[in-house]
Amino acid sequence: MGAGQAKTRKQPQGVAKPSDGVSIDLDTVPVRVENVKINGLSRTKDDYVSQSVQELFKATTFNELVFKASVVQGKLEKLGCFRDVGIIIDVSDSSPDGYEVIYNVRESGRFVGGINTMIGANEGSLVLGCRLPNILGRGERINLEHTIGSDSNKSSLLTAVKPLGGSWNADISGTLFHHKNPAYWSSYTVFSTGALLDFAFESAQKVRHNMQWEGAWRQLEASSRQTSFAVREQSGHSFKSSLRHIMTVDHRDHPIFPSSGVLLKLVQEYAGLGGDVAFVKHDSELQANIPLPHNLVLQGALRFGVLRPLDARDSTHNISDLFFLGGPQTVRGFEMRSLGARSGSDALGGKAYWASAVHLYMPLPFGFGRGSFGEYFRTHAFVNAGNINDSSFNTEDFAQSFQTMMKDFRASYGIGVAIRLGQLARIEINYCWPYRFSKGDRLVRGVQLGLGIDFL
Amino acid sequence: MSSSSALLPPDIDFDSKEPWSTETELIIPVESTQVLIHESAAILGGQAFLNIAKLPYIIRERRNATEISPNNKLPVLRCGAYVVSELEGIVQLAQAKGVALSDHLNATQKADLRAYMSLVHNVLGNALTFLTWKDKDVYEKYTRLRAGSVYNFPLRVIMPWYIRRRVVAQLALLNWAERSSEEVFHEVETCLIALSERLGEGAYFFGDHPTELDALVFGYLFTMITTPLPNKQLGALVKQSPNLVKLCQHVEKEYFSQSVA
Repeated sequence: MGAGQAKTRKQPQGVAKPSDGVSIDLDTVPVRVENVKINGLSRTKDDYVSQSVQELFKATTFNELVFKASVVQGKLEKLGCFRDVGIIIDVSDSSPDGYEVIYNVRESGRFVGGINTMIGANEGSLVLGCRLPNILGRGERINLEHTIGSDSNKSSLLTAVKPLGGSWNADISGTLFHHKNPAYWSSYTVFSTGALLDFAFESAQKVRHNMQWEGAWRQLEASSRQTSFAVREQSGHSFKSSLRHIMTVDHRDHPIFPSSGVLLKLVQEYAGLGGDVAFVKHDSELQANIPLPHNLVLQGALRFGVLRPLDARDSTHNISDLFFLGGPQTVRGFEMRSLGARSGSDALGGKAYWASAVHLYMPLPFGFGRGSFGEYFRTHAFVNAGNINDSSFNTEDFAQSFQTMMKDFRASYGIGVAIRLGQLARIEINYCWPYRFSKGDRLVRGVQLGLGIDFL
Repeated sequence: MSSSSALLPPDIDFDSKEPWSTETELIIPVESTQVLIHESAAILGGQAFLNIAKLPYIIRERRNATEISPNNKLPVLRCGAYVVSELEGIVQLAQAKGVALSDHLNATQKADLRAYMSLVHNVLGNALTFLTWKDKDVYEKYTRLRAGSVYNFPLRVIMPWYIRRRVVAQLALLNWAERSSEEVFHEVETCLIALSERLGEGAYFFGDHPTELDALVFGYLFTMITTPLPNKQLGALVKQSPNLVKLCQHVEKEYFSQSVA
């Protein structure tokens, strides 16, 4: 945030009062941008930066110019090439309405290293990483990351990204990875090694697509002698080669505590492009937020997923490809990923699931901490319902499948506090009452702690 | 296929009140395309024991049999809730269910039995493993193709390399990795002579009844005689001891008449 920005935001009403007392409406002051200057570029290529500043030239009034200048500042910061970006707006000498916009940038170093903490599904992790930003001058970067999780998750990633920019805001990236993911709810561990190619673009504003190819060698291992045979017999090696399409439409006003807007996320995966597994998997999520009086927000969310094995081969999938449900991030009041079929103490997952939630969010009572730390807190009351099923959803026998999915669904309700950590993660402390469950379900009656990014 | 831990009792408390399940499965790799010499020797030994002890089982072919096994060793036996591997695991499980082939032996004989089992494991087991994975000819013409056979590309290529790396590391731990094939054949010969001397003119190693040692020896020797390897030397070595060949024929006739053609 440069000093220039603070200066330009001093006139929120668009009215300035020069010293002689005559007020000028800045919306009517004509403006012609003649020159945009970027100081401080050394290895960053001009053409890569200049496409971000084009819209400045379209400004016609002073207010518009100020607004666009800060939009462009945001764009420049997002390029990932600069440590900071400052703005100066100046009059140009050549003509009376002429203006000049100057950006002072500082390029980030050739090598950036760091240690960060990250939050995943009810676990924290430590990320050791280093980054080579802006290698060739057009935003190309290489990341190397090693993550150690509190659940003895481990992962190493090497990613190369090439921004393509343009009106589609596209970029292309390639990742090599090695993960170790223990699944304590089913007592197995998966080691996967492979590569991911990703092409991301926006087909419309706030509609983001990812087209991916993933090739992964997975090794599933029973994590102890106590692992049930139903899980143990799935251990072994398989290679998954899959195509995936992810579409995210996010019209919410905030990623953690939205007060209005809709989120739609669709994931389609076709695994069977060579390799040893063959299935089609769909996953979808819809969230809608409705603002109510007194700062209340009503949020409704629904998820639905189905996995269909492709019969051509004898071993089409393993337990790590299936869906799991339950826990503080999905159906609260149940143990983490514990719903559905079980063998001994191990959850076996399912091929189809649905889960839904209705939340009523409120700020802290009595206006506590409003405008300051209170913004990091919400209280909520919720109702959760969901079910997971062994057999895949069959569209040919829709009624039957629908009935199976609705039969013996699980539900719970409760109240709690949600705490926002930065712009991505959140913590929930809830008091849960499960009220629809089946025999053998692992209930959490009472306080349940949730930590993560994706909450239903 | 030997490791010291395999000979120690595994840390499971068997529930001896449950009888031997009739649904018991012997889990083995795909016999026609995947199984390797040292594996089929171990599997045959396990089968021989079960047949001798008249314990019912069903053979299940699974391409991930090795990975299903608690210690990556074969064969895998699943009886009720228990999953055990190798002949030792099976013997212990059977004992917990009240079935034993060596209960009539005295303490010295039992110690003898354990010593010979360990010898067979260490020498014949490692020798077959060595020849399967370290002998260049055998690896190229036989092992590499079979080890990858149940997978599609790219695991078809990766898996033989991956398993070989693991097996060679194990052999190195046991000081078996840096031997020549000739040295290995010599070890096998010495072991066979020791076995032949112990057997003498008896029908079985300990009296008139076969024990787990007979099962184990049968598994290895029968495999060495019958498996068509690029190198036929193994079978020839066994045939130098007629009494061992006789033991094999005897066990096969008595206990495999229905199941092995």
